[in-house]
Amino acid sequence: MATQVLYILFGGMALGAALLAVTRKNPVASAIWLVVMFFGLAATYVVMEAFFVGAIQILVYAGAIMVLFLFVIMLLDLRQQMLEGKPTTRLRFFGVLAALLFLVVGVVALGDAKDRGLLHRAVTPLPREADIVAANPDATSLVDLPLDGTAGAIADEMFTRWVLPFEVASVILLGAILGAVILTKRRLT
Amino acid sequence: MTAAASFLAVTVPIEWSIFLGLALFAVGLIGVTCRRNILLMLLSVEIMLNAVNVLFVAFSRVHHDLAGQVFVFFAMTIAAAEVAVGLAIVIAVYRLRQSTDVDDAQDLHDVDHGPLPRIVLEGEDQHHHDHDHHDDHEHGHAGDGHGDEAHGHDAEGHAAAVSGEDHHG
Repeated sequence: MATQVLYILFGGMALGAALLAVTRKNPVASAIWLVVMFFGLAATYVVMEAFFVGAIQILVYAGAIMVLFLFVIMLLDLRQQMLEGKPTTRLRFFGVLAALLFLVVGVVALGDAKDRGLLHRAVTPLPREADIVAANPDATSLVDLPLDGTAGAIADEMFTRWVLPFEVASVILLGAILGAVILTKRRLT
Repeated sequence: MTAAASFLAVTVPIEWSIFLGLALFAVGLIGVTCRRNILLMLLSVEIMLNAVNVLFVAFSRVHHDLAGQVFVFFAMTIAAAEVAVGLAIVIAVYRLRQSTDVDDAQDLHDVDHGPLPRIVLEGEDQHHHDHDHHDDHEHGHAGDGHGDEAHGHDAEGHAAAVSGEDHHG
């Protein structure tokens, strides 16, 4: 029960913060609301027992990416522009329509999948977790259990099965660094 | 039943996570289509990437396969790279246009939206004088008001407006 309440709480917080982030006029306010969304999602990950992902979500997203965003927003000083807003009513209408259509189609498909019993695995207690609990009868909290989603478990997976994608990701980051430096240089000599 | 077991006994249904992912993606879609500020559009793309991450984590949990959580890290890597390059582009565009509105950066667009904000770069661009001539009739459709302005500047012998540089560089 506690997990479900926490999930609704933090998931709703993330969703509300995302809505506020895309509707604020002031870009700084949008960025701050996005930080709130990142924290809500991080808590949601923890409730889903993805502890390490939750920690990295805060460190990388809320820590690094949002600082970069806020830095650029404040560097550019956009106060002048957010005041003049241009009428883009047609695009706005169709954008909202497309998003609502996407949501409706997704929810209908979700309900259909539930009716066909495709989602039943998640509602019942997961078998492997039951085994883990049975193997550790003296555990009093989740911290005592060797669950999925800890740093060690993810490291085992990432550096054995996914080591090549890991290296490719580092090359992508290198390319992004070079691209960012070259793009922001005033003059290539 | 221990405290940990009772905590785990009731799990979060997968459909809640799917709904959260769908709703976040829709919110991000609204942001990308409705905001005309490049920064806000990048920010909305971040929301959409996070929506996908929610689904990754949720399905990783259901299938007991940590590959989903590993892929969240790859998605974060791509997001970081995207933000770095995207913000570099924003700064480059802002330096040219003094604006972060996407409607002000339509050089590659065919439709004439009237005169764009002028592009002025400091310094000399003497090697562009040779190119500007054939450049004007080859890329003359890149906005009429803009092309005329570049032409006028050439005739007066001022520093070349840099509309040519966009097409070359």
